[in-house]
Amino acid sequence: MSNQSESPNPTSSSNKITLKTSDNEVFEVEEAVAMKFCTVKQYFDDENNNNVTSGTSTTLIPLPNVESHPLAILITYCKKHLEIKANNADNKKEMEIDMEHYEREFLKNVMPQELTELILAANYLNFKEALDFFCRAVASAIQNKSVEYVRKFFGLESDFKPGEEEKLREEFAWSFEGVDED
Amino acid sequence: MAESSTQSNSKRQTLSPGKDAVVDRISILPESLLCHILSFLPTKESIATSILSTRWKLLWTLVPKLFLDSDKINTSELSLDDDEDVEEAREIMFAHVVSSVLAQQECGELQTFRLKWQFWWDGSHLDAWLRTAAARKVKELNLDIYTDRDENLKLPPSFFSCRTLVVLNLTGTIDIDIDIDIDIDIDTPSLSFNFPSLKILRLVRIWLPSIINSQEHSFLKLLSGCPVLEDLSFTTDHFEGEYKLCVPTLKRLSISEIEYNESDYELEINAPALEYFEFYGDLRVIKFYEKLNNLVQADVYPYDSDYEDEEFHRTWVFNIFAALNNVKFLSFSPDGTEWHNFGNIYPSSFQNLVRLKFKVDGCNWNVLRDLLRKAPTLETLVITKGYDFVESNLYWKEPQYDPANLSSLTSFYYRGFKVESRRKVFLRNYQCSQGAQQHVFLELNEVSVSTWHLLPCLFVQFCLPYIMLYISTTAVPNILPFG
Repeated sequence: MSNQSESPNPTSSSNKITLKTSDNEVFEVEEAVAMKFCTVKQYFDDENNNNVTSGTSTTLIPLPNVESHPLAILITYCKKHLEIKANNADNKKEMEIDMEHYEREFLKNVMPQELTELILAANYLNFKEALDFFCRAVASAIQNKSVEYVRKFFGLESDFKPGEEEKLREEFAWSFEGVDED
Repeated sequence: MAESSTQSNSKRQTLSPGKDAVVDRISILPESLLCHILSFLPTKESIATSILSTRWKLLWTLVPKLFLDSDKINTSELSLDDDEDVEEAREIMFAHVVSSVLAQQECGELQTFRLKWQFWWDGSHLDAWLRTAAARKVKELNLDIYTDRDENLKLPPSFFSCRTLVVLNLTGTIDIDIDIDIDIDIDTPSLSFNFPSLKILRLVRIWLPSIINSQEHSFLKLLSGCPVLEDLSFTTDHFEGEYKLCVPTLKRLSISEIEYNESDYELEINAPALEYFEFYGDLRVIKFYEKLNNLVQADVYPYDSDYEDEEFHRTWVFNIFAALNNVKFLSFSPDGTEWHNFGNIYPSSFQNLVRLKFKVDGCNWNVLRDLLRKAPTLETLVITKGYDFVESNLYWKEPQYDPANLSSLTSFYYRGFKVESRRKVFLRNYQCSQGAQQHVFLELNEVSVSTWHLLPCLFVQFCLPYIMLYISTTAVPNILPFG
């Protein structure tokens, strides 16, 4: 869209909220972004209720279960998410198309091993869209893949007793058919 | 992104499947998150994870979503020669798979049950499956059923006991090889269609005559069993007869016909809370009980109709716009040549309209012109080229001196027209009568030379105030915005 630069930035002109990660890094984020993290929103609301006089601009919220690396990625994702939503406020279909396109590009820069920590961080922050997105990404990475491929992908080793795995393979034989070549 | 991290966690080494090193990077996740990942997979693939390790063995049974598709069940290992035997074996096997999956699932409430099922012989299993789903308080049911048996598939009694449903999608498909309509028939006199929590209902190729035409079991009665319904869409081959629809809570309504319709029908809609209305099909009598005061968006795509009486057709369009008058965002795509003869089809001014998407086919310029005259608050105008665009100005009338007053217009997109490269184009620059500067984005993706001559007319016609040409293709560097 040509007028993207002119469209109002959804995250501008709002209070900043400071987040402190478990590895002691400090992130200053727009309130609109922070409020997408339900855990932060809950903390923020509780703080405001407890101390009505405190200025919100100086709020510092500790995130003892989130490291800076996944948080930085989640903030980037969240900003873009809000921007795409604001640009397509009147058209759900176009918003979904834009979002899908962005997510596809986004995943190109995420290593498979980062997904686990992103899922944990999104889950802790209770950021539903991101949690679903990263879980969906893992699901599609293993979709239609052989058991051997998925084990390697996850770094898992079989711990079944001898014969047990074969029994399962037999019981659910229909579910192992038609997988892609590794 | 990985390099930028300062963490020295051994679990975060770069690893791709295929290398020898095995570093478990998934087991750190709790069971609930592993199940959440599995919920994005079809049930077949979710079950295949059961042999990854002992921890995964029963995880799939905890996923509250089921998606089973009979197309994805293979019987290659049975090595049967006869095609019919293969189909029958497949059908028996699929029925067995669904039954055993339902029996083995351990989680309590079932969030989603999605079943895509083709069958030729025995459809009786559905009753037992839906009984289980009902007992597990299923919230979303998605049935997509295809059969070529020569009678309609009746939904079983257990379907009507799924009282916890919030979302219901029913899709039936017709076998085109035979003449008789084979769809899902939801006309069941002895059982009531009663879903107290149902918010979203989609009916695709459901055998409508049975639910609408019969007096006792009308569509009206069916919908009265859904007291909180917000979103209704139905897609049918074509409408015929009289339909009534009364849903006070309805916010979204989509109606579409798949095939061209030669029959008459009458549709009465009583949905005063409607916010979104979508129509694809042959327009006939569509009556709204009242003007839709909460309407935000409407997408209206009437098919190209050969209806003989143009006056009737004009009245139908007129009536529909009388109800849609409060709309903010409108997409309108009037197909066919008859529109040219209609005269004014808009009962009154669109006082709230801010965005209009209009598809031109060369014969409906007058419909657009009339509409713009009635849209004083329009901010965005998107003109796209219709599929059957007539490359002539046969239907273009020179404007009379009655320019539309589009003083609020800020964006104008003209899309989908092909360009012959390196043609210079001179457009006149009009100053807005109020003197305010507005930016009009003229998005000329691909503008066809044969329509260039229309553009200046367009500007005179619509009195577009200040034109800024925005060209989104790099193939035509020589196009200049202003002469």
